[in-house]
Amino acid sequence: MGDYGIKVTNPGYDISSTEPRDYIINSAYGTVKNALTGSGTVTVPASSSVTVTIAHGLSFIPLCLFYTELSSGSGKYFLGAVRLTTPDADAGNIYVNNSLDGDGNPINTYVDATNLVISYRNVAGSDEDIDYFYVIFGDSGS
Amino acid sequence: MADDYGIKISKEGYDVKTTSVENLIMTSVYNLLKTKLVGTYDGVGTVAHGLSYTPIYISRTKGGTLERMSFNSNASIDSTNLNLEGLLIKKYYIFYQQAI
Repeated sequence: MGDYGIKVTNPGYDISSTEPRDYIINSAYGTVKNALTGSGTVTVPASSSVTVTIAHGLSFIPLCLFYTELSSGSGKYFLGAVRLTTPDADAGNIYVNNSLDGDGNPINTYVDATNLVISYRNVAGSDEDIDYFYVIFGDSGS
Repeated sequence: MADDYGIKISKEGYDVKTTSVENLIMTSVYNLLKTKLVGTYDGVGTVAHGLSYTPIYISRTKGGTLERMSFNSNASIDSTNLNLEGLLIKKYYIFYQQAI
């Protein structure tokens, strides 16, 4: 007897297909599990930085993604630690602090076994409120 | 008889028959990201993914002595390889889903 499991193809594809892309789910292939999602708004002070700390509740360093609307109200969300080149219509005045210390450790924006930590810097002379959202997976990120 | 069929699982506390999609753990209506390769790589190099197209991937780097992963990708992908740059340890996921 062969192996067994569960599989569901996309509409129009035969269940005997051996092409992974034809499947919605196939227990022969691992998937990343969505453990926690969330969003928030943070005020980034003028000419200063702010840190967002999200406790993920997992006992390991998870795989995660976060997106930020760098230019408030633009509707455009950028993935991860990005700093756009100014002038840019979507750059706004906000970027993600993404520095390393002398030992190569990320010090501003990182994920560890307890938290997702995101640091934003505002280069403008007035406070800005920005939106962000995140996805934390129940899969190892290290 | 139902018009369509499949499988779905709701989160605890939500009625699987009526709840909206964000309250489902999985549903066969929506594709899942299926993992092709998961691994780590130290330094500069390539990982052949074995697919005939450019897939979706995630890459993260670890540097220093602390147990932290940064959001630096230090990687790119094409229809043959995941291309890894820099001197840091990378953790990568390559999915079957086609990116482009």
